[in-house]
Amino acid sequence: MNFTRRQLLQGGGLAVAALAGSTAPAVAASSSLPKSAPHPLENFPDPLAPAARKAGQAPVTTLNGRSLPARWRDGAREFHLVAEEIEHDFAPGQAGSTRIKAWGYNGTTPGPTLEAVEGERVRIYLTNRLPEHTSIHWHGLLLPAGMDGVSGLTQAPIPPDETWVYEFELRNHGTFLYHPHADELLQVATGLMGMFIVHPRGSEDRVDRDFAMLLHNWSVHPGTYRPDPSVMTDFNLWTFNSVVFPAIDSMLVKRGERVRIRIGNLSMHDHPMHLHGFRFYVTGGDGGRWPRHTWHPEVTALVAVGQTRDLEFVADVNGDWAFHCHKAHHTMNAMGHDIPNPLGVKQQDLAERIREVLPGYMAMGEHGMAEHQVHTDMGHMEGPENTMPMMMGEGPFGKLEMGGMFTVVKVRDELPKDGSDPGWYQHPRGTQVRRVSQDPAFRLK
Amino acid sequence: MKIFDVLTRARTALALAGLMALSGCAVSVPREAEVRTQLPATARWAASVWGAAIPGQGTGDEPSDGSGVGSGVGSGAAPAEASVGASVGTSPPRVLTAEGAVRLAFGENPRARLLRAEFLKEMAAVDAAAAAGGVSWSWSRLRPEAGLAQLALALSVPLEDWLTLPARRRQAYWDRAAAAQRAGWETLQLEHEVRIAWATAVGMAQRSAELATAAEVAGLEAELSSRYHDAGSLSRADWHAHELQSGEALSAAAEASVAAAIARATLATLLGLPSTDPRLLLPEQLPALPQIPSADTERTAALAAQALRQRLDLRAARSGVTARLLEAARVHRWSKLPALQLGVESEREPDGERRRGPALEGEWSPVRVAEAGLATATVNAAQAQAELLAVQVVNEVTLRTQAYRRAVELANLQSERLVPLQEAKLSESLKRYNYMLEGPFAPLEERRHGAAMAARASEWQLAAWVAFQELQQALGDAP
Repeated sequence: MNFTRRQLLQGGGLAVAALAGSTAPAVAASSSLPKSAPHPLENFPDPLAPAARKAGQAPVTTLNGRSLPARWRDGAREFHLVAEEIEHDFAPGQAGSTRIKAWGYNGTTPGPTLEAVEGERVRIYLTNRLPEHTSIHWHGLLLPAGMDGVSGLTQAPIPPDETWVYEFELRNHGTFLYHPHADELLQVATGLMGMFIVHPRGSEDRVDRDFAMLLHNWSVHPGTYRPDPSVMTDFNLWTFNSVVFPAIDSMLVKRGERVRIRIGNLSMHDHPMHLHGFRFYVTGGDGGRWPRHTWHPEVTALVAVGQTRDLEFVADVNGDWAFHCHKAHHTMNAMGHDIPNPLGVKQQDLAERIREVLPGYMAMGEHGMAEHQVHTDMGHMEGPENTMPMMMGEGPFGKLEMGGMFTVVKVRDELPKDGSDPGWYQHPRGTQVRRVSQDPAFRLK
Repeated sequence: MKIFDVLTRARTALALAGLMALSGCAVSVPREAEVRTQLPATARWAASVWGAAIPGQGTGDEPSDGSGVGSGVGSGAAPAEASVGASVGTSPPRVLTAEGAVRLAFGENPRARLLRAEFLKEMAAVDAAAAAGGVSWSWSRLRPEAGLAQLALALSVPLEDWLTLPARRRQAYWDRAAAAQRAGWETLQLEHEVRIAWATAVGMAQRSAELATAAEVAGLEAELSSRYHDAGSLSRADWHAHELQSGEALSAAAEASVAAAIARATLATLLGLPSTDPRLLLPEQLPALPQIPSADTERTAALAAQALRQRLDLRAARSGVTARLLEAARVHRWSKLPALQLGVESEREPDGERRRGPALEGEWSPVRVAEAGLATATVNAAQAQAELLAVQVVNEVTLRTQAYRRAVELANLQSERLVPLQEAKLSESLKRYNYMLEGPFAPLEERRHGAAMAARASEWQLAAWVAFQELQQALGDAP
């Protein structure tokens, strides 16, 4: 597939994501495209420049995703969304990743980010290639009731194979969401969702790096390939843009740059999002940008269900800084939530006897759960089909023992010009924790 | 007396029947050739039971090993184990097969001797009834007050006994045949009992071993739960719940062990051995099941027809009917005539005169007519009994065929479908435990369930084996 330079530029995060090598397994023509590639139905020969450029803003980087190309027709910015079944990979490039049959827009979940500028008129075509009807609700946008996308209330449901068009003027700016409001429980649980970013007319709030991520939770039972929409609370995959650590893109920032992280939450849980190394300000939500006098410094911001939050900070210290949900089990992959704690359970001798009747049984957890990643990484503990280990990720100093909602903000004096990952941070001498004793009875003198 | 003697008598009876056939008979009875076709089954039974060669049979239809099964059930693959010999006598202990158990039973079990003794007793009674007519004599000496004593000597033979000798011998032939067939049937029952007892002993031991494994796993679960409790990660209630499970599993294992011991003792008794006899070294599991019989009704009808031809109890009943028919014909024929005694008498009168001459004595009683009626009723009863038995045989074959098919299906379902599924479930559970998706008790529980399922599979395999034997019984076949 050939891309024009303009097409390459307009995608925002396209270049980074494509270089990260993220791909979706081939299932159907529409879903066999690279994760960030245009959908065949987005056949715009002359797409617009990114809306962010028009607004004088930095392009939005949708982690592991892209922004949707648009064109200008009849006084409106036109988008074309295609709702369809796709095959989705929760950890592209990771061995033993979990793959599912999901529903998405234009080949991905979440769908591509829509970017436009406050005051513009948008015309959004929605082609329904799902087996059931659907609709789209424009979460947070101020628009005519007939465009609000609530199936049965403000519109008739959009039947399979039909294309309907939403058209309205963008009266407010900020970080918004889009998702179905028809069979919502199932359609959102299976991946139909996306972010809608409306840039302000002016550029007074300009940032240098503008990242977008949509929080979600999934229940993919071990050995299955479809998310279970009936699960209410006991989810087992926690994702940024439908990807788990360590497959989530890092956020690459040059030291001194002003950074915005736009977070939307379409999961069923609230998430205390915690940034290491910096104080940030919550500058807005799905109600729009907050008055400056309401901003206050934070290192953790709760993003409740159905909310968006914009976190802004100046990345003035180099390093690899963790950014994650502070609910510890949200930074794990699939794990049992109803198992007895093996900590302190002495069973090595018993395990020998158990193996006589149950070959392959291993005692574990007596000294803690960290050994789990050692076992799974070494591959001598086979897990269930289509199920990722609970803990993953290898850092410069060992295993990260993380999964789910975890990524890294990499701040450097210089970044590779090709947008590639700069690798792990090299700590200057004397700035890193060090060992002083290996004596368990160590006492300060 | 050996079985050879029994057969020799049967052959003698055949010869007699041939003679009688030459003499003509008003009653329609099976011909000798028909009778001869009946003997191979008995001979085959004897050969299989005592391992004896049947001299002079030469019928050419002695089946090879397992052909009896083959003609009855599917392709007839007899149980593979049947070809394995058993240890008998002083040879080192080897695994006891079903065939070996049968041989032991017929060598050691007093019941086998009892069967033979009763058979010979019955044959003796038949022989006695078919003996040639007797000779009666009388002698008297009457002393008068004066003169010589009056002497009288009479020698006579009951004419009826002699005149009916061919008919009685023909009847005896059929009575002998019936007795041999009954004895054969009883012996086959004993063999089937032994085979069922052998399968039960093996199957129950197999089940017991599986449940012992389940109990062992449950014990490990309980011990692991105590470790979790000691570490503060499991409540006392949960710990005790695991111990309760362990106790229940132990109880089930103990019950299975007792049942296995009873089955072993039953087998030992049938074999005429103490249950500690080293020859009672049983295999660890039952051999593969024989092939399942076809389900179509045509096949079932063929099996029923086969059973009607070869069931020894039915043959015995039919032979009995023939014997009773012959008896009734004879009784009827003679009931209208007086009982005649033909003889010679010699007398000396007191005056010294001697007289000598033939004597004919007749006696007629209404009782003889009644005896004819009784004989007719006996024939009718025997015929009705034989017909009833034939109906029972057909129904029994149908029922046993269906029962065997179902038992095999269930046994195969258990062993080929459910047990592997449970093993897959266990494997999955272990993988989930590896990834900390489940606790350590889950795979142990699945292992315990797997052992219990294997025990159930043993039960069904045993049920199929028993059903197989019962089908063989219904067919009247020697396995």
